[in-house]
Formats: sequence, C-alpha cells, structure tokens
Amino acid sequence: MEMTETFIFWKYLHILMFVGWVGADMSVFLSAKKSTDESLPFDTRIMLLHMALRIELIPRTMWKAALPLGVMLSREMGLLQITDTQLALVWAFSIIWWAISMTGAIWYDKDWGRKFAHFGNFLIFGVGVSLIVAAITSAYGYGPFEASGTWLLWKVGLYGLINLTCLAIVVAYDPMGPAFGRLAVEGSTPEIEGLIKRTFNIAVLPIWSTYFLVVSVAFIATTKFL
Amino acid sequence: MRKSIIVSALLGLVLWVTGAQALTLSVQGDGNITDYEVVLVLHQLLFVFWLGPDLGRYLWSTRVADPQLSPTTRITGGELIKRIELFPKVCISLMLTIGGILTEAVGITHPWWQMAGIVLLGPVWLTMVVLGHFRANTNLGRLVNDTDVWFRLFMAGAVLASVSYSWSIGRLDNTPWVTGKLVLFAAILLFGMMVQIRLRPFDAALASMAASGPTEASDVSMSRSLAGARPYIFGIWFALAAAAWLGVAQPT
Repeated sequence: MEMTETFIFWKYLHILMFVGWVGADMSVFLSAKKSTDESLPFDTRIMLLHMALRIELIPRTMWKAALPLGVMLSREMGLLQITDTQLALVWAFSIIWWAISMTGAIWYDKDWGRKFAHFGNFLIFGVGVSLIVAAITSAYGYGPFEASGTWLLWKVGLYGLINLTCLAIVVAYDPMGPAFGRLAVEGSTPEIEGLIKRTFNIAVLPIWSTYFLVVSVAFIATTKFL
Repeated sequence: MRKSIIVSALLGLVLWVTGAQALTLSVQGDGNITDYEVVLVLHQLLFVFWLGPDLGRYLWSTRVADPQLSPTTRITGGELIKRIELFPKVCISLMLTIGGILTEAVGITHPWWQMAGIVLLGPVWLTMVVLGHFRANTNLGRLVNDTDVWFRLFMAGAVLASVSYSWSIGRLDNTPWVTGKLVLFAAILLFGMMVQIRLRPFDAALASMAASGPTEASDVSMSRSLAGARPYIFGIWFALAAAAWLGVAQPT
C-alpha cells in the first residue's frame, strides 16, 4: 500500500491518540490510587481525586477520538468502503459522544452532569457491542470491513471490547463518589476506608485489562501478524 | 521498594534482550511478527509512556505551585510528580538503544563496537534512573541525581557529534529524517537539562515547605521557577511530537 500524505496524517494522529490515552492515564491511575491513602487529610484526598478526574479528560477524549481516527485510517487503507455521508455521520456521532462524555465528567458533582454520564454509559455499551458485532460480521464477509484485513477486524473487535472494559471501570468506580461524600460528612472510619479501598481494588481489574487491550491493539496494528 | 527495583530491572532486561535480538532485522512483514516490528512497537510504547505521563506531571506541578491549596496537598502533589516522572525518565533512558536498533532496519549500519555501545547504553542509563529514583536518599542515588544534568549534557553532545560525523561522511544521506530525529533528541536532552536547572528553586521551595511550612517567598519562588521551566517543558513536547512526525512520515 502506498503511504499517501493523508494516510500519514491520520496515522500520526492515531499514534498521538495512543499517547494521550494510555500514557496520560498513568497520571490518572497514580492520582486515584493516592486518593485512597487514609493517612492523608480529606482536602488532599479530594484534590487527588479531582485531579485524577481532570487529567482523565485527556484519555477520555482520546478514547472517543479512536473511533473516527480508526475509521479514517481504515478508509485510507481501502479496508472500509464508506461514503462521505456515512463518514460525516461517524464524525458527528463521535463528536456528540465525546461532548456527552465530557459534560458528564466535567460536571460530575452536579445532578444533571451525572445524568449525562449515565446516558453516556449507554452509548459506550452500544458502541462496544456494535463494534464487536461489526468485527464478527466482517470476518464472515458481511462487512462493513473487508474480511481480508483480519488484523483490522481484531483491532475493531478489541476496541469494542475496550469500550466495555472502560464501562466496567465506570461502573466499578461508581461507589467512590458516595464513599467520599460519606468521608466528608462522617470522617474517616474503618468501614468507609474499607469501601474506598475495595472500590479501587475492584476497579483496578478493568483498568489494567484496558491498558493491556490498548497495548495489544497497538501491537496488532504495528505487526499485522493476525 | 525492593520489589519495584526488581520489576524495573526485569523490564530493562526484557527490553534489552528483545533489542539485542533485533540486531538481525527485516523491514519486510510476512504475516509473522518480525524483530523489526517488535522493536517498533517498543519504540512507540516509549513515546507513549514518555509524553503521556509528562502531561500529567505538568498539570500536577501547576497544582503544587498553587498557594491556595493546603501544604499537605502540595507536598503530596510533589511526591506524586516524582512517581509520575519515573515513566518519562525510564523512556528517555531506553530511547536511544531502541531507536539505534531501529536505524539498522532502515539501512544505517553500525560497526560492532558502536552497536554494542548502543545496546548497552539503555540498561546502563536505566540503572542510573532506577538508582536515582529508588535510592535517592543514598550516597549513590544522590551522586546519580547530582550528575544527571552533566550526563544529559554529555549525551546531547555525543548525539550531536555522532550525527555531525555521520552527516559529513554521507552516511545519513538517504535518511535525513533520522538525522532530524536525532537532532530533536539532543534538543530534548538539553531542554530536559534546562527544566531540571530551572526547577531547582521549585524543588527547594517544596522541601522547605515540607520542613517548615509555606512562606510567601517560597510560593513566589515556586511560581517563578515553574514559569521559567515552562518554555522548555513545552519545547520537549513539541520536539517529541515533531520527532514522532518524522518517524511516521519519514520524509526524504
């Protein structure tokens, strides 16, 4: 395949997306982990959690950007036949999806912000399942992707799965907000600290699964061994 | 702490062995995983875990310099910065080794002694980084950290000298983008050196805050120090992004 300038441009953005996703998420993970340290005063722990959520806006953006960027690259490689209108719809959906997700994340302390986040979760589930289904149907020759690009089908399917692991992080981390709310009112108690630690430890599983899957996707994309 | 050192050492060993294996490289993909591709993935991962965490480190540094936050929060933020910055430090230490091995695949051959130096540089530099981080309070750790600025200066000089020589004998004629990447790497080393120098008052103010609480003078010192380092921090990001562009586009 000839490397056109357009292809190089989208590939470059795709790699930068990877940087902002997993790379930036290291700071999120470490900040969130530190917020569970019960030896720290409450205001420090809240700031740690707040910073984790603020820095997380970068990986959150990149995770959403992976969809249109991936579509652009697939199209450039001739592995996805898609009209300009369909492409515009993919971009429109991605931007709306991102906006809903960001609204929910930025205003996480407001009721309406939580409603956005809740709706965003349904979208994540929908995207995840749809992409897994698209990868499977494409593998059987029903499209939308070319069946010959098996490595791409793996990428698409795994990106779908990543959406589900990201959703699992959101669900697993959900009790953290109320737990910190109780911490503010009741102070540090063994029960609340236990809840905070347990919540974090449960969330670690989908977090590491997500890291592993994203790195695996990058490995597949670079080696194209599948 | 000991566990972290063992994990870091094992990671370095795996990267080193993988890199050493890639001495016989092929750019051709045949449906299998080639050594070249494995090293390329490692190269990308180094970029990802260098620039990505650096964004978080910078955002945290602005919080640490914020006098409106409690001293404990700022000190904790400072501790977190030290943890986060281990990622970029590890990545920079391995980048020349991985990059050097990759250049073999694009036709830039090295004599055996040069290749041995390239392959050994990564583990040696990584060991220095690990010692400086996990043994910061020992004499050896202090020595490593105190000489880091000079080491970066030496490495930047070595890279520039090597590039200049290779350029003068026409060795890089077919791969000007590699030349560009190496020059950018040297610039990053120098920018990183400047960041360290400019952030010395920041670190001193943080240490003073931890010992005796914040003062107006220490707050001002922190803000000024961070402001002085900012252009170099942004310079590193720009240079990294530019180097990535050269790696992807490979303009001739």
